[in-house]
Amino acid sequence: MRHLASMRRLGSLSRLVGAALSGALLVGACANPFDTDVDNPNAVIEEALGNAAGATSLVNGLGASVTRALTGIYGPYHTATDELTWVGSREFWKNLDDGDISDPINEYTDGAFPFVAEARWLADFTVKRVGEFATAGTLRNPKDRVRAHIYGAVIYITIGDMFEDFVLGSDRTEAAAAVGPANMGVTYDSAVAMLDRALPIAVSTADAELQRQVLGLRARAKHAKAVRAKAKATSGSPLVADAGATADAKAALAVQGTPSTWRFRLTPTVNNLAGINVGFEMNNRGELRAGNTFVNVNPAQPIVPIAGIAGIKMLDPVTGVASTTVAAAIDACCRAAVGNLSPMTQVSAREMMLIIAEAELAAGNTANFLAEINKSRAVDALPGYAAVTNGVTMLEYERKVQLYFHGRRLADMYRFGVADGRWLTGNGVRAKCFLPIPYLERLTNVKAPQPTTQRLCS
Amino acid sequence: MFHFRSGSPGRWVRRAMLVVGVLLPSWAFAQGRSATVEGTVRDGASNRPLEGAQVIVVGTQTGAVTNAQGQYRLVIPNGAGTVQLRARTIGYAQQTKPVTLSGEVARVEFTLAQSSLQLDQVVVTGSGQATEVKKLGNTVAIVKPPENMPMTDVSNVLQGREPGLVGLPSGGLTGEGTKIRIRGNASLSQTNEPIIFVDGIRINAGGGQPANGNIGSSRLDDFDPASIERVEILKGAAAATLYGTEASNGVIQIFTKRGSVGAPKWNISLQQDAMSFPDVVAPNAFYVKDQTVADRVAPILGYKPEPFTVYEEPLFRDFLTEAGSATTITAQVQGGSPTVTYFASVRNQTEDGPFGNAKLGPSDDVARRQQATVNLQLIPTSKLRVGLRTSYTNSFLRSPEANNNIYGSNSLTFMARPEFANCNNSAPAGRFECTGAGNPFGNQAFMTVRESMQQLNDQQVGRYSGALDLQYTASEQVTLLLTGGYDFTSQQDVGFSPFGYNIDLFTVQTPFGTRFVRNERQGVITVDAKAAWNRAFGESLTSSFVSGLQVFNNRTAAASGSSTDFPGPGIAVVGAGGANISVGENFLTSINGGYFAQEQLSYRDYLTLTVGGRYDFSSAFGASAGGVFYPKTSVSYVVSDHPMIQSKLPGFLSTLRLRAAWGQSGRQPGAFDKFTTFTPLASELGAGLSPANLGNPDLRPEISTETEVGFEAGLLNNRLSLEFTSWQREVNDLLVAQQFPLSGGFRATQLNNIGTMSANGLEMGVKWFALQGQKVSADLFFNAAYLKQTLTDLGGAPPLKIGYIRYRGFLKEGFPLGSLFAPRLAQACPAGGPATNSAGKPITCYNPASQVPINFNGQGSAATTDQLLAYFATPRDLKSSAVQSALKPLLADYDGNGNLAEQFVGDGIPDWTGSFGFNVAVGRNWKVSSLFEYKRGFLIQNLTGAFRESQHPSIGSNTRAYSQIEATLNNPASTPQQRLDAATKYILEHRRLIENGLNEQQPGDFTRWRELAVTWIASERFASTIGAKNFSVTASGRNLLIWTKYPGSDPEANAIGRGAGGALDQNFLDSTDAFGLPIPRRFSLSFNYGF
Repeated sequence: MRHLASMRRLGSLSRLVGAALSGALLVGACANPFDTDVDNPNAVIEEALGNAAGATSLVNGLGASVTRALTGIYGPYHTATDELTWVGSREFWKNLDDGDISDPINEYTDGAFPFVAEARWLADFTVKRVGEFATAGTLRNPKDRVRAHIYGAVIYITIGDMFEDFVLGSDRTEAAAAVGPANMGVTYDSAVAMLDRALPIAVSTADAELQRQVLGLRARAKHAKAVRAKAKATSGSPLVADAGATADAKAALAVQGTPSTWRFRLTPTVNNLAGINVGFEMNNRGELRAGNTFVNVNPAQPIVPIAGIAGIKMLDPVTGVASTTVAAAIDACCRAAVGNLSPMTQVSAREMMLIIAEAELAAGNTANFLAEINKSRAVDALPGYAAVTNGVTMLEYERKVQLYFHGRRLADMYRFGVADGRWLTGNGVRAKCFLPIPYLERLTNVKAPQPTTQRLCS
Repeated sequence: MFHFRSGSPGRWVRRAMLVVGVLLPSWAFAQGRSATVEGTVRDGASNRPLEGAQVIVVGTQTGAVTNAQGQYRLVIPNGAGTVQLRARTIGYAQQTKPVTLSGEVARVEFTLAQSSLQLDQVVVTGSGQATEVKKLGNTVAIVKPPENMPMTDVSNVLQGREPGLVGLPSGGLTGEGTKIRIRGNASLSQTNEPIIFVDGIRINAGGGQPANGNIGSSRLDDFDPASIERVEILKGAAAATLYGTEASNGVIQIFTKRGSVGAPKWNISLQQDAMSFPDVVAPNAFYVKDQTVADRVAPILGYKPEPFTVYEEPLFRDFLTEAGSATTITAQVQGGSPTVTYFASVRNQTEDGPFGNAKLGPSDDVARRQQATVNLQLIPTSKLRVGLRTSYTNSFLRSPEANNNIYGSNSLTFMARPEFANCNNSAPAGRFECTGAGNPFGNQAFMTVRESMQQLNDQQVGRYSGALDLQYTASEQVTLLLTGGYDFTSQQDVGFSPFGYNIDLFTVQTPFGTRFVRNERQGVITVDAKAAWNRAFGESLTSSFVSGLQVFNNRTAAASGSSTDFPGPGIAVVGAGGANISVGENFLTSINGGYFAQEQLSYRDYLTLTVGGRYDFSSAFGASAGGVFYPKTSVSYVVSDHPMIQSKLPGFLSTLRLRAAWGQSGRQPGAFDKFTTFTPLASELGAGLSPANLGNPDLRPEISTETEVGFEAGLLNNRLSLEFTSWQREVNDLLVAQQFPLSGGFRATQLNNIGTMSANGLEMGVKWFALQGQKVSADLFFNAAYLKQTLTDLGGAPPLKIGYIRYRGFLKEGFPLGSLFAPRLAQACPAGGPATNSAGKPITCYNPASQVPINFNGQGSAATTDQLLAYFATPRDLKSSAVQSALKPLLADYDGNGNLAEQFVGDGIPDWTGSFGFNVAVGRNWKVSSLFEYKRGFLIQNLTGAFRESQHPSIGSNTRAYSQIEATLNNPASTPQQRLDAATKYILEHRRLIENGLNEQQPGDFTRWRELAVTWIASERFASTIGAKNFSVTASGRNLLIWTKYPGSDPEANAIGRGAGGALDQNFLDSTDAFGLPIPRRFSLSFNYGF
């Protein structure tokens, strides 16, 4: 009897279970009974960026993004100059070393471009967002706004210095057309506009370092715009005489407490390196090293220069011995001990001095030129030139050694008519080309130059 | 938190064995009186006993499995009256016999007839309840581990057994995992690995090794292959619908062994393996240009080379290989009472692979695994069955830096150039040896081989997997089933280069050491509940209805740290590093849940219609989103069982079944893919954020719709069987990782449901029991699968590039998946002038009588022989940029796309795959089995060859063929014509890397002798003399030979290995060979001792 009773109970149970599951199935068709919402502790969703308390993080992120972009683009840019030489295994470094700068499918240009483009977009986004905080009165630290403009100016100046053409107006999924090589001056104009907005805020904060950075970068932007024009010119003097640049350079040096050794540089951390970054390629992987015109090479280990001053081939024109300026520059960026984290100077007191000296030379004031250029040499405790024998050569040399690894060299080589011995005839550098809008951008942006692999400057 | 002391698992296992092997049997046999049935199951032809056959009491949970002597013993609780006993085993037709139970021990003998068709085989499909194969309209393959072939890992159990299932080994290093593909690729962006269940619970079947070694292991190999009873494979969406989202690449269900009623039966197996790489790596060829170099390298070479004469030195064979060995000990016990059965297995495997050289450094390929499995089946009442499985694995894997890796010991050896060998910082000490620091192999970049051999990559895994399975027979018609389980993996990966590992003072890569540590914990919870309702409507119609729900909760937490520059030797902790200090942490939780229901309606057991569906929810869409419904239907018609038709079938046709199935399944995106996110990016000044994911709130799963039709035919009393399936798949709402303009600020691709792709295939199997005599029996089998996959629509997204620029794989609309695009040389002009391409433009060609396809100095047309003879009037150095630039290849636009760098050359996924082989039994004492596996119709991009046969100035360029070209061009004694001939050969075959992909694609077709096993089974008399009930010895070999025209070292080696999942390169780069090591030969001798 008990067995029969339990069977009846089980029969009821089975019907109950069947009914419950069928009912659940119907309910499930209409609603989600499972707790499928999960948290994402790994990233910040965009809505959270409306909180002004995060302004500093936004600006730091922009700084990191700009730094990362530079670690990526410095590799292809400097390899195309005489500053770095390919010694490794990958052919696209070799192509750049041969002076083939215009190839849109060069994997290093293609690989670095996304980081540069990201930094450009993030600069616009951050400047706007922090500006909105300021307008709303919620920005806690006005220096954040200055820094946002400074980082933004750095990336715009870099784009102007290094690219033949660029796409500036795209936003997320919306593509914009390239500005065109003839209009690349707008990158410098954008930088100047940012710095114009930043300067009064920097002054109001009474932060001398920020003021120096703003003024120095504005001098750089104005000077670089003129340099680019000179680099592309087929005739005329290579010298720049931009009154605005000179004035800003003098103003930067005049900011209280500016030492002659002052420089503003971005130093990457292990967190903000591009996928292929110049420090790693030089100092770890051994694809690149300081150029053959600058260093002596150990035949037994050709991937690195000989250690110390013995490794420096470049001679100082005044002392006649190996350049200590070059030695210091290479020690700072391009030796194994530095590893991946090569610092990248964006502006310095010595560059301000060279901008001022160049303006004096362009104006024919050789005495003033001599005085100014010797000021820059004095930063490294080097004896000055006794006289101006060939001002352009002197200027080209001092910029070459004092601004080594600053991202200035290619435009200087073009405007001063200097060629690297490794450049092959017919390559893009012979036509004074800069880095192209690469393959991946063209593939994803029909408004960018097409076809995807065509060289638009060669 | 798990601890990994190597001794502790062994102790744990021994204790578990003690409990299970001794205590449980004692308890089990202490239960009450019952009816007992004994007997033997034998092969009908040879009268050989059949081991592993199931004998069950029809309609109950009671069953037993035969031992090596074919004997079974059933104890039926409260047994009385007449019951039906059924014996069945794979490869035989089942047999049912009545037996009347009394107080005596009853005997029932079975003699089973071999059957090449397995329509009566019972499988567990997505519904979770047992069903005969003949009722399923879709393919369910059953793989039983070969009886006499030792299996090193689970991947070996699966590979080559079933048409349409392909194992993709990564390379020849011990511990390298195998990717598994069923019917190709059902997704572009998500993982294409099938989902895997073990005893009904979902497991972590991922892969990869995050340390720097470029070696990827498979988590599937954590499971003990010796504990596997069988594997069921559901191929594709039509079969796997009830598994819902994530099942579109099929489902693999592993069932572990269970105990059977009887006294404890022990089996101990000892296996000893030896391994070696086949001698297929091309030696390092070189020549010297002058006597000075010859004099310099002579002390290291041991001879003085003549200038411009090519020499060969097999550096890899002589310095990077060793005799590999492995020892595997397995102990198993099973037994039980009518109320409790048990199975327990412990296995210890140690393997030191064929890579390594202790004189060069500690780097090695080593694997150690300790595995334990315990299965309990409890039947406390006739209505309730409780299954409990628990398994634990502790594994250690050590790998060298290898594969496509500039710091790889193998790649550095492949790229070494003996003409540059030196002992500059010490003195020569023999052939390619220095007394101290030096560069004895002649490496020109990155590091020396000895420095590479100081680097270690270790992986340590602790893994627990447990399942609880309840089955309650509520009534004759209703059964309730509940399965719950937890699969937990604790994995630690370490990459380590010690302080001062740059022992040759060559490398600049972190010479003061580096260490990377990553710990990951992953847990997968499975809850599966269902109710089955089986009933008959009269005598003709039966219904089987099942409905239930499943939930999978997958949680992963990972933490990592790395640093470089240790303060001194001996330190091996991340915290000691003084530079590049980095930490990371990552969490991911995903929850999938769904309801399913299925009705299976059978008419007189020969016509079955199945209709079902599943409604799924996923954390990819959140709780507020609706679910997705996946429907299915199938029909199975056993024509030969239809009384009206049966008599009309020709006499030779014993069995004929027709079947068709249609169904859908899917893959959902990642849990966070829908959000617009910013990711942490710290600057030198502090914490920061940068753009990460563009986000798309409208994301949906991609849906695979698959249709398959097929038949099985048994001929000559089912001695010969044919199986045929034709299938077609469409994937809609394809999740494409779309790259938006980079200038828009977001570098990462964004998943969007914008594409479609199609695939179709054929699967065929033939099995023939050719001999069924008492003394000799033999069966032969042949399997083939055809696969064609096309990316039909990318929804306007640009083509997807796979991997870095030297990998030439692309996904382009209208082309096969895995297509390769590369530059193509101009060919000789056809008669009548150049052909035109799709753009209507003439295809560049040349006149072979007077021209060579060299675009000399970029002139834009083929160079004339006169031009080139003039150029080669003086020696030329191919390593010079100027010479390389002068000798550009003349490329042609065959596709008419205007892009000379991207011309379609073929695809890297084989059109045909399959296997064939035989099993032979001679008398009662000998068995021989063999398996051959083949792949046809695919290209391999031979990047290893590209490096080794290129003009590169610092690496490679060291095969005999290339060195001879260079020596001829450089030799002042060569004539201009000899130089021209050499340059022509160079441009036609060896110009590589500068134009990425040129001259790199080569046919990969191969047939590999995968397995051979010869087993001697001792007679019972002999076995008893050594105290055993059964004893056997097996000599076997794996990967014995390969037949291929592929000139690289191995067509199965690939650049990327077994990675973690769904990245494009994991899905589509299998046919890129980049410094992979050949699959080694393995010879095994195993002893099996049962008592």
